[in-house]
Amino acid sequence: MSREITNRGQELVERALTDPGVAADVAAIRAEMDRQDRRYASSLAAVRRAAALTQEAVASRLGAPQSSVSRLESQSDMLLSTFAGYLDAVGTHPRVVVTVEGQDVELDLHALIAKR
Amino acid sequence: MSGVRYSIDVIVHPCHYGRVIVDWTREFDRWWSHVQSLAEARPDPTNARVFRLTVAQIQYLQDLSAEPLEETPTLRRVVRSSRYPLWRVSHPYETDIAVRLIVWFPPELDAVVVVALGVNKAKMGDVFYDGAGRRADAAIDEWITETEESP
Repeated sequence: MSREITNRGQELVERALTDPGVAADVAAIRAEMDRQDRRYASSLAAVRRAAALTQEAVASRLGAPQSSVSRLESQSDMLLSTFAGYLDAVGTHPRVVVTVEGQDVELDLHALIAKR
Repeated sequence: MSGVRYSIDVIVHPCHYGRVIVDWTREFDRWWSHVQSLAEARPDPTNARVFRLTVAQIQYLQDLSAEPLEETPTLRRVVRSSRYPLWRVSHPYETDIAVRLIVWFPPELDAVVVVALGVNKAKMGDVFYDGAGRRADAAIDEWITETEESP
């Protein structure tokens, strides 16, 4: 069964954005939505996507095949040094923050990477 | 070439440049009309802001390429019971405003999302979700019937 779909969203957005004031406010809202989404990371793959990297790019940085990155991202458990190495390949300053009695205690993962 | 008859069928697909096509139900259309009329008739800060947040959420949906594989703060699955797998679109926190869109990605259609419901749930809180599944089901059922093309 085929359906008759109307792209009403496009009509709505195009019409609304003809008002410069609305367009500016919508752009600001979208920027904040994107910032919020990028900050959120529930998995290794989400961290990689926040960095706008492909599995191939991370694999290249790790000197490993893409399949190993794929496997790593689906693992539920791994060595802390493996975890630190992955984060170092994706980001610039991987660290773990633990809140203890209201105080944030930061563990620098570079020290662990150096010991690999 | 005389005496030879050619028949050419042209199939035109919606042109969306890799973007999701956003359609919506009658129920959402009623809510959106109300939001627009309030924003025009009484342009107080809340009405104007609900209007802009909704436009931003629709634009966010447009910018998707397909149904997402993972949740984000902006787009999460709705876990309350529904016959359709629903997602909700939200926005960064605002005082006294919490616009939510309840949407459904029809599995048989490529890059289409249907907005089932829209709400500013700031005053009702999460109780909105108690009836959202049932309301979305009814709205989507209606949309399915209305968009069916005759064979």
